[in-house]
Amino acid sequence: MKKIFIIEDEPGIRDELVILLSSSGYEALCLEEFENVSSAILSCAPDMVLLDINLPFKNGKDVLKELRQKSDVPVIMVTSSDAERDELISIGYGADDYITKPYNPTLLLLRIGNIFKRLGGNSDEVQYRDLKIDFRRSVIVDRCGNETVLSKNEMLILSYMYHHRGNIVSRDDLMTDLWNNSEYLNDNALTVNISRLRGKLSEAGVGDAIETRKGQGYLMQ
Amino acid sequence: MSFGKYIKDKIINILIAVLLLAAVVGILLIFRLNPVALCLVAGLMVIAFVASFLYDYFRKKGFYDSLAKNVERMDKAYLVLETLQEPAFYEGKLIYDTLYDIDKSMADNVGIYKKQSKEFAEYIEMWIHEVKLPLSAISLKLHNLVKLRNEYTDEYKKLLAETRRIEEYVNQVLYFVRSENAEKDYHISSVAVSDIIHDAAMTYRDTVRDNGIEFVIGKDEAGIENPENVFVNTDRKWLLFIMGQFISNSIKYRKSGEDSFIRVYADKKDGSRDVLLCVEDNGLGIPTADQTRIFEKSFTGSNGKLRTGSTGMGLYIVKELCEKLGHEINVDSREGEFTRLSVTLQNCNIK
Repeated sequence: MKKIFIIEDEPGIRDELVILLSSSGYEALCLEEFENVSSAILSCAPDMVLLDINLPFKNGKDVLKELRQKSDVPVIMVTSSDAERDELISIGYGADDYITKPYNPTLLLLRIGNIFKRLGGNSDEVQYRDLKIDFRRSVIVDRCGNETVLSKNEMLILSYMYHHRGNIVSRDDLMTDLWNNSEYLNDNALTVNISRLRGKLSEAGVGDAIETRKGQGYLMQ
Repeated sequence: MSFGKYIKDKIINILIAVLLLAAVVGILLIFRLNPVALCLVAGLMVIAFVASFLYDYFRKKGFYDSLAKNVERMDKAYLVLETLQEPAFYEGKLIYDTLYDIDKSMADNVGIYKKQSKEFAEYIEMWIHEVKLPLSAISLKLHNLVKLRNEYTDEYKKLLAETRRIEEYVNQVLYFVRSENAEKDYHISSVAVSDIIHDAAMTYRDTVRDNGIEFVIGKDEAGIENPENVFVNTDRKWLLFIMGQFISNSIKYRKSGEDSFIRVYADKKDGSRDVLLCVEDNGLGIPTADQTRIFEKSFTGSNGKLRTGSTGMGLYIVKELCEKLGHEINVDSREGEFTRLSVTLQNCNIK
């Protein structure tokens, strides 16, 4: 499980971020004292840091600068100020992303996911039951080696389901992910894409891969 | 300085001079001075008077003429003193010094208000950043509650919608302050038109959806085929705010009891490198009489009067921001049918 360290001095936001991240399959840690932030980060060795800019003692930009001398851990800067210079400085100091409050929680999760994806760790090819999924070529291969090509949308849906297997994924989550990849589908188009994907999966012998949970969404075990 | 008016102004001096001349001539006649000498004395006196008037006239003319001319020519007339040389004659010096004192006192006075309004703007910006913290906490809390209980009920929808409304109003104030003090914080860079559309799509998707409106990105026919290859110099955040105001108007002025849609797309202007960034809806539309006025400050129009919550500020701020960015803002609408608000991005770079 990826470990995300939350550096946020506003308790109301911090607590909710912990809930948000823990319920989304991450291990969320947070800090309540802000005197030695960068050494706290280093000793905890997280996979990612969410760093607020307005912190007591030392602001987030300086913490980032200090941290970057010793670590390359991905950092998303989070701030309520959307001042352009803060953003430029943060990116200059080596932040991986920059998000302005009040942010959309779904988008925050997507951006966290994007960074992990970009850093690798998600291989190009995975085995799911009898099925081989090749994300790079957008192809699924069944047990006998027959290849089926998926459209971009179908691949995005499958990839999202695969990376969230074991969790119920709502239609809106899928839609947000598709839109985030500049595929602006409407509700009907999503239904069509899911049934086409299911058709291709069942041809490949895993017709039950995506279950429907009535009123909640879809589930891939 | 007109010579006629100058002479008129000096009429008493001239009268005294004429009387003096008459008196001198009279006295000399009584003493039976040689007529040639008499003419000579009178002539010399006339020359002396005329010379002294001309000298005085031309000495002042230079200063007053440039004062009057520069005041008329300058758009900031209060700076006229900077364009003048200190005159050599006493009256001129008096005027010059007095003007200097007046300018200074006015500058001091304006300075007080400038300071006040700057401090106010700073306070508002700070306040906005503060108020965003509880707002973030609320929207995170709501999201978590929905997620944990796995039910997206109408109660949550309402709470989320109200929270977003607060966010929108808060943002409006922020951009109003910024549009009034624009030097401060904007950042022009080359942005792909597709990125702007993507920002708008992702930022306003939930709001549009929760209002039961279909959100369509891109245009089926016409439009720009590859907005990712079209770049424009702009401030990305400002443009996103502008699109947000358009979208929020479309939501406000939708038709009830009908399938509503809002479409965001980029369109080309024929024969130029201008790109139109459009937000189109099938809402109430704007009466023709109101169309030229919707960008005026505090104008709410006939649609605005039908409902509360119209401040008449949104599109005004949009217009101000557009002017600062050098973009053009347009409206196209038919009452009862549709509204299309758009920003013209001039001279795009098509790769």
